[in-house]
Order: sequence, then structure tokens, then C-alpha cells
Amino acid sequence: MGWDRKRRGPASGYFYLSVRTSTGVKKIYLGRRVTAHVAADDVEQRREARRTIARHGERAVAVGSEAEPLRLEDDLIAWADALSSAWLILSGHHKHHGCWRKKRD
Amino acid sequence: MTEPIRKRAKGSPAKSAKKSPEVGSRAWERSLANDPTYIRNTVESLIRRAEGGDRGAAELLFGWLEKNPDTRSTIRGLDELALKIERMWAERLFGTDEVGKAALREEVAALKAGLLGPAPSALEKILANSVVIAHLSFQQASMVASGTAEGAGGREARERRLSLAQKRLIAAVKTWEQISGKKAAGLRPRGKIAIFEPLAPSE
Repeated sequence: MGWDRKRRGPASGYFYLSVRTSTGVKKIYLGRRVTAHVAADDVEQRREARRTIARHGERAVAVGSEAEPLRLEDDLIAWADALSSAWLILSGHHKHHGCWRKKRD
Repeated sequence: MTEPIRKRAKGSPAKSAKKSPEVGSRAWERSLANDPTYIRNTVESLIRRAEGGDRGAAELLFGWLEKNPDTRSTIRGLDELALKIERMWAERLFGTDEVGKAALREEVAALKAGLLGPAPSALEKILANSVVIAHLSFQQASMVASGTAEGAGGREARERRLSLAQKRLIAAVKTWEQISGKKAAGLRPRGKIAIFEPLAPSE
């Protein structure tokens, strides 16, 4: 949810937090004071983290010194994927909806 | 009297510098067969074509891997890459704790011994290495996620990183399982392609 500006009342509006519960999504009224601003910051930070991950992948959320080993790990995994696919193709397999299957002779 | 130092003219190549082949020449084309990025791009491109139903691509892939036995030495270089990543994760997990690092080295050695059969090929070594690396990466992500994070954004990022590390570990184990399972069932690629053949004990 977020800031909801009413026809009457303050220009900033009131902050409503969306919470997922077992019975569905619920709107919680947090008003327009400190609690509302802290919650709004929290929501914005989470949104920004999700956007960064979507744009740059796992390495973007790596904490400090993790970026370099993750970059090298990406490289090793790409090799493992390429060579295992080559092995499967050359041993008579084909990909069917994401699964490798042996071709019938 | 000392002799004046002759300065090399700007732009002229140094005598000792190894001359790289001119781009587009035959020597340059031959040198590409040893370039890891070129090898991987070629293999990936042929795989994509084969997956897309191009029947000739599998033949081309077979011919390319058979004609370029030097690929094996490039791929052996991946052992060093894996070792480098292992050291990096050990450093990030244990810092200056040498006892912890030694215990981790033992754990990694045991894990590899369990994953590799008696006569592994270069491919099996890479797959075992990627499982080990993904395991270390997951351990690191778990450690970071259990620590204190600044703000909700930081917490979200750490949890997301942990979930991605978990997915990557599962994918690495699945690939290893798939190849070793099919190999155990007696399947193997046709012909004799160096990277799929068992390594000599010294390799």
C-alpha cells in the first residue's frame, strides 16, 4: 500500500501497511506520525533491494567482499553447465521442456 | 663516461615483448583454440543450436571437441580457479582462524572424495568442484544472514542472497547427480573426447 491521501485531511495523507495473512492481504492503518514514516522507509528499502536484485542478479546483493568470489563462481558454474550439456548432447540426449531425455534409437 | 640511455620511440614495440598474432590472421585463429572464453562461447553456441533442434550442431560440437585436444589443458585450469574460490570462501568464513580453515580443508577434501569416483574425467572434476564451491558459498550466505543487518533493506538482501545460494547449491548437486547417474547406467559420449575420458592419476 503506502501513503493514502484523503480528500479531507493532511496533504501527506495516511500510511497503510499491507500485510499478508493466512486469510488474505490486510491493510493496517499506521497514521502519519513517526511509526508511519519508519514503516514507509522500511517498505522503500525492501523495494529498492528487490529492484537491484532484478537488475543485477545475485552479485548485486553480495555483502562487501563477497562480490569477487561470486564472480569467479559464476564463471565455474557456466563451465560446468556448458560441459555437462555437451556431454548429454554427445551421449544422445535432447532437451524436452527443460529436461534432458535420451533419444530413442 | 656512461652511455646515454636510448629511449624507445613512442609506439614502437619492445624487443622482449612477445608479439601477439595479428587479429584476423591464421596464427590468430589458431591461438583462439587456447582462449578459455572463445572455447566456452563456441561450446555454448553449438549447444544452443543443438537444443534448438539443429541436427548438424551436435556433429559440429563433436568434431570441434575432438579436433581441439588442447581444450583439455584449458579445462584443467579450472581446477586452479576452483582452488582459488575455495581459498576465498575459507578466508571469508574463518578470517585468521587457521584451525577453522584446516577443518574446512578436510571437509572439502572428504566431500570431493565422496563425489569423485575412482577414475574421474575432467568434466566430473568440474562438477564436483562446483558442488563444493556452491556448498561453501551457501555456508557463507547462511553465516551473513544470521548476523545483524542494517535496516530492512539489508536484511532482505541477505535473505535473498541466502535463497539464491541455496538454489545454486541444489542446481549444482542436480547436475552432478544427473551426469554420474547416467554414467553409472552405462551411458557415455561416442568417440574419444579428451575432456570426457578418465584422467591419468598424475592429472
